[in-house]
Amino acid sequence: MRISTNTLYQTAITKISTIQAEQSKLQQQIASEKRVLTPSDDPIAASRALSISSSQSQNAQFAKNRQIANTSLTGLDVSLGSITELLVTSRTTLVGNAGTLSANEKSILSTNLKASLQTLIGFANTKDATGNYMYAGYQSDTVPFTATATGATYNGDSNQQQLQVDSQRKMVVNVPGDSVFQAGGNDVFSIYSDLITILDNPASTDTDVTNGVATALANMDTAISNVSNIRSSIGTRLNEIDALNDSGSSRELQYAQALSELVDLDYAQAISDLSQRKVVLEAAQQSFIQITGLSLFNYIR
Amino acid sequence: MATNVLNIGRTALEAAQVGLSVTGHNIANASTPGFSRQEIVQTTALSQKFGYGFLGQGTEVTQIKRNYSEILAKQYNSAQSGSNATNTYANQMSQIDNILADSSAGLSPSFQQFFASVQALSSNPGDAATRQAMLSSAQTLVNRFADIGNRLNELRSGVNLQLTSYTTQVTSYASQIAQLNDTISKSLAADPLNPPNDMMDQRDLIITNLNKIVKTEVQAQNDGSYNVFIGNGIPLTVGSTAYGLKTVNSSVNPSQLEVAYVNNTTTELNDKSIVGGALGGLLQFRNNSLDSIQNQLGQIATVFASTFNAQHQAGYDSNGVAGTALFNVPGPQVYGYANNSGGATLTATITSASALTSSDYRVQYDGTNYNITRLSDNTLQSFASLPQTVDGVAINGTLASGDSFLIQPTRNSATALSVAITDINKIAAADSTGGSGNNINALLLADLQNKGTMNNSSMSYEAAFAQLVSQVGNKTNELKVNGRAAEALLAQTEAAQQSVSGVNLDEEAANLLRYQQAYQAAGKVMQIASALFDTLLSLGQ
Repeated sequence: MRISTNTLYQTAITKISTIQAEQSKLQQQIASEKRVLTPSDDPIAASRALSISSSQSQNAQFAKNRQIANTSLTGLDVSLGSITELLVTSRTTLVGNAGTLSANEKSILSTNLKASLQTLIGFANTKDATGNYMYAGYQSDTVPFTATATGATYNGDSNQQQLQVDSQRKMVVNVPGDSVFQAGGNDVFSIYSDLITILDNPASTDTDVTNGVATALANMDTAISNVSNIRSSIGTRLNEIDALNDSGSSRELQYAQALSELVDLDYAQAISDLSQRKVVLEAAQQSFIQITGLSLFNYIR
Repeated sequence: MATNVLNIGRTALEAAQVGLSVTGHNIANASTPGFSRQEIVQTTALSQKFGYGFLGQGTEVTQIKRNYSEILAKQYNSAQSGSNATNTYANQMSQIDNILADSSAGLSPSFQQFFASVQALSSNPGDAATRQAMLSSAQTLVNRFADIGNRLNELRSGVNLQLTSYTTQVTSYASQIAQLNDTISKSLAADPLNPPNDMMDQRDLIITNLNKIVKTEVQAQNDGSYNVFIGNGIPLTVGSTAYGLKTVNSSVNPSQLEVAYVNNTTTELNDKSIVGGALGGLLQFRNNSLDSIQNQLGQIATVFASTFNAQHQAGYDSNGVAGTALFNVPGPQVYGYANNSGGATLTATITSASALTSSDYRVQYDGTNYNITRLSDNTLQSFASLPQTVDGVAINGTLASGDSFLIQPTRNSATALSVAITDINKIAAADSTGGSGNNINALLLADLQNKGTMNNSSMSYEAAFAQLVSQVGNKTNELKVNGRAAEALLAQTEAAQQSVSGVNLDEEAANLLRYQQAYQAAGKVMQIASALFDTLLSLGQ
């Protein structure tokens, strides 16, 4: 075929600019560490990367939520531990005062119980790290328990606050005060105040006091077992959070890996491609110079 | 006899001179666009009969012809129009591809950030800072929608601008062709054997340039003029009469320009009749991609805002008051056709976001039925009366027979979306129970992230966006591949066309030598003839 001189130049220029465009693309890929620069580079990978990064970000958010849940539940666990300790101490005191008591012994026991009641009300009004009352249900900005002559009244509600701790798991992260201190009509504060009333009443007979201590002991056992049950369910939830953290971390790894496989650059391949293009470009330039250098006009003198 | 030899030498000298001139002309125009290599047609001069036979009378140049192949030029032009259409479309799509490529500033990260802030709200619903953070990220998300929407709008006005400048160019080419037609046909009428090569090259170059703008067909006439047809056979130049194109406001949608044909009157052209070239590519881009992409983005914005609002309104705010809309959801855009009767009105409102599609709709009243067409797939539903609800859009109005309206339910939603609440206490994180720790509604709002809210509850917001990205990526990729194929075809047809019409400088160098030697030889012939004559003259001395 006859080749026009223009075609000769045009072909060489097109070839060279094609190689340069490829080089520039490789350069961009290397600079951004990404194989997929725009969706059109790999539409399937680009759209899958979007959904994976969405799962990834949600997974990260659930991890944050678990951290918050963990903080709340651990706080509850510690607080319930102190409450149990207090109740157990009071129980021990009651056991030690199971017989007939002298006036002095009654007075000491009453003082002891009053102090414990104050401490218990204090515990019941504990705030968490963010300044919210732990045992108030949804009324987290209201002091949940106020002391009265017959124990304490509850100002909170019975609602359980849930947190999304995993894609398919909402976990209760609070304990409403009534379920801890007033479960099944057994008001812990009243255990104290009822006995204190009997002890402080000069008209109480020895039998009244003995019966009062016995009733208090029985109710105290029920209260301790209730708090223990709650603690144990919190322990279960903390364990579950640990398990969810493990699976969350492994998912995170899996997402990161999948994303990387989808859109990240294979450096070795890219660098090798780049140097290969360099060789081709040099060859194209050389041959262009050689071909265009060959002109019959060079020989017309 | 000697005079005869001298004369033969003279014809040879002249022919060589013409040959040198034509070769020089070729060399001079080797890189002139549209130039066709010329060569001389040389024949023997009429011989003279003598007793001993026919004696040659030398040579003569009968014609200077250009090397031009109609078939190859036609193939080249058609490749030119195809390649330019694909590449124009591809260039426009690449811009959307780039807009969506920005993974750090794209829509997905804003969605993720927004829902993370809703999750944070659920973990601490009473906290002012957490509430403020949620409102801020709602604003960020709205800004992202608006940003992408605005960039798509810029592309749309870019299309309008380009349509205008290309149609002006076409009109100018039309009149240039008409003038050249006139000059060429007059020149050929005066001297049919000697065509005005350079002018014909000029006209063919305009045809090629025209093909870059729109597919162009040429019918060569007997008088040497071209009748030129563009697109689907719209006459642009007939003999020395030129018509033209211009842009007019669309009679259907005043927000966009359409190409119109100008002869005695101006007629808006159907986009389907403009194929090939940059114009064809631009219209294809607008009709097949931009409209649908903008609608889909708007659909995500509308459905997101509506479904989020619905859940937000089901909740209660910090003051125990029922929640209000968190976002202002833009309504559908309605355009009446330009030739509607005076009293025609139509309203459209979104009643069910999840039933929305990404299509536009046409409502037409034929005097008996209201015909509502979903334009994406031309599904027609006919009703005897209005109001009616189609695909989540309630349509009502007063139409006279023949009136039509265009409804765009989501075209503008991405840019028009806004946050309706500034007071952090109005965020409805609680249910009716109330309490500052009440996070029931916040949890339900957070659930929306993965809920099937779009396209009749089949897809989440982010999945719909991912689908849009994949669609844009696939189309751009397809166009790039087609563009490369079209360019390869163009290069091939150009090389073929150039193999006939292009100048090869080596060939011209050889011709230079050939005509130079012919010239020298002719000179020698004349020198000898002169010497012969001298011999005769010297006889008398």
